[in-house]
Formats: sequence, structure tokens, C-alpha cells
Amino acid sequence: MKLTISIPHDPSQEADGFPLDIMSYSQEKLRSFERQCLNIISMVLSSKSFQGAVNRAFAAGYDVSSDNFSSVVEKLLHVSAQSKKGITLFDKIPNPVEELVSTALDGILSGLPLQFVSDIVQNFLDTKKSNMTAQMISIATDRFTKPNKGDTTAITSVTQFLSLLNAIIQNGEVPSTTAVALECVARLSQVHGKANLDAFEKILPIIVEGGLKNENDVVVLRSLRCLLSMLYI
Amino acid sequence: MRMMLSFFVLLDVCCLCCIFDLRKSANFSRVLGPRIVSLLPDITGVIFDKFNEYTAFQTELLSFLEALNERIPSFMTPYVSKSFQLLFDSSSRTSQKEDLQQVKEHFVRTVTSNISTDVCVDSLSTQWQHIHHKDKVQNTSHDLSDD
Repeated sequence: MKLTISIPHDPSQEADGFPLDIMSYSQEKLRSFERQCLNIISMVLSSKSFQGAVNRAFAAGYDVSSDNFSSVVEKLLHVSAQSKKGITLFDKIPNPVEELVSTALDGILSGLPLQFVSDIVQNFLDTKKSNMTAQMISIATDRFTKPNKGDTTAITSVTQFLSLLNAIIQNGEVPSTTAVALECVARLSQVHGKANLDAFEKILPIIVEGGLKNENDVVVLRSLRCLLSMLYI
Repeated sequence: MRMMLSFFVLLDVCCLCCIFDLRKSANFSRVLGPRIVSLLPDITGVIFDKFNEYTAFQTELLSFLEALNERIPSFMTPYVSKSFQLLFDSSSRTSQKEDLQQVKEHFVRTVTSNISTDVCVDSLSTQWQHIHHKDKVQNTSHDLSDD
């Protein structure tokens, strides 16, 4: 199974193999074209035929690797990051590109077993693309909060994903990313808390040290909300 | 000799059982909330420190403190007095928003219904001397005896 995506973003960039001459496009026309491409991509990736193809590939025992999907996820996140330059995570301005990318990523991840999702996040974080980390973990959390009952990898993959979030909170370099990671832990705990008590217990001291004692107001607030949601599990 | 050997074997078995029991009791709780107990000194310390510093978050901080009192009341007993002090201090200092006032009232209700009356009365009585009294007040013992 091979999945590639090519989205033109800059007229000066190399566009070999692209069926249109985008060199003559204005920035405005290119943005509009980019949105149309994303619209098609999000429709294809969230379509039943794509989901069915992914399911069939796994059922038939094809040699599917998380690497097959990692590059697509990275490209989509890159497009999203480009579209929100100058906008912070706390701004609530609607961003159509970001929404389309989220739909596309949701489409890819919803067809994959949780272990693959966790591996994709791991691969992504290893490359240290910090400006896209928040969106990556947020979308992966969306997937983790909708587990398939037959997915036998759930417990191990939740533990792996939690350890990634744990590292982000402990690191605490980017407050906005730390805040999103805390929100992800809170959401995960609602769905997987009871089945993974030990894994969630391990993250509690990190939330206190890296979150509650943080100097950033938003991080402190998210830590409180995270601990509050975990308190009722 | 055989009796002694059997006795030691039995002793070993008992020891093993005890060890397993202890290991089980370390993870006694089947819910996550009470596993926060070991972190309580740190958590309450941060809440008490930040309550006056982060006035915008007072509602959140108090709601969390209330949740702790509701979820693990017996472990919150040592912090009741300090919690009341926080309420009284903030009431006398700042003009309060209506929602914060409601959260405070709810907090007091939760504490009084989850923590034993003895602890609550004891904690409240220790606050008497810290409260600024505008008017001349009667002696506390008089009040109690009148009732």
C-alpha cells in the first residue's frame, strides 16, 4: 500500500510531475487551489472506500508499516502549520485549511490500529517538529478516544502514547504544546483511565511537577483541569 | 527434626503470603482518584500559594480543592483549617465576583458534609483570631453557653 500526497504551496517550489502549471498562479489563486486540493484529500481519506481498503490490507495480512502513513501525516501537518503562521494556539480564529487537514488526518488515523497511531506520533516526535506537535497529539488523541472494541493493541499503545505525552509535559519547553498535552491526558483518562490505572498513576507526579508548578498561567490551569478529570476516574 | 523443617516451611509460606498481601495493598485502590494521595502535600501547597497570586483562577483552584474534599475527605483533614483561612482571607481582601461567591458557598457545603463536624468546628475556631472584626465581639465561650 502506498499513499503519497503532493500539495503545491509556493509557486517557486519544485513542482515536477504536477499536472498543472502553478508557476503562473498568484498567491491568492494558489491558496484557493491549495484548499481545493485539501478538500479532495480530506474527502478521499475519510471515504468508506479508503477506510475499507485499509481494513482489507490489515485483514489480508499485508506488510503494512506505520512508515507508509507517517510521511502523509507529516505533509498534512506541514500544510496546516504553514497556514497558521502568526496565529497562536490560543486564538480562536476559524482556519479552513486547519479544519480540512484535521478531517484528512482523522480519516487516515481512524482506519489504523492504535499501535500504528502511537508509532506515527513517536516517529513524528523523534523528528522534533515542535510547531506541529500540538496538532499531532491532539488529532492522535481524537483517535485514541474512539477505540475499536476488537483492537488488541489498545493497552500497550495507550501506555506508549502516554509516555510520549509524559515527555512533552516533563520537558515543558513550549507552554502551548504542554497545555495541549495536558488536555490530551485528561481526555485519554476519561476513556482509558480505568483500564490503565498504573500508566495514568505514573503520569500524576509529572503533571504536578511539570504542569501545576509551571510558571505559565495557561499550563497551570490545564493541569488543574487534567487532575480534576483524573480525580473522578 | 522433620517437625522443625515443616515449621520453617510453613513460616516461609506465611512470609510469602504476607509479602503478596502487602504488594496487593500497595495498589489497594481500583480507582485513580485516591492514588493522588501521595502527592497531596505538593498539590495543596501549590493551590494555597497560587490562590491569592492567580485571582483569575480562584474559581478553578477552589473547585479542585472541593473535588479533593469530596473524593478523598479523610486525607484532606489536615488541610481543612488552611482552606478555611484561605476563604476568610480572600473574602476580607477583594471584592468578589458572584460566581466565586457561589463556588465558596458550595465549597463550604462540600467540606462540612464530607469532613467530620469535629474537624470542621476545630478548624473554624482556630480562624476566629485571624479574622478582622469590625465591631466589638463577644467572647466565644459566652456565645456557646448562650446557645
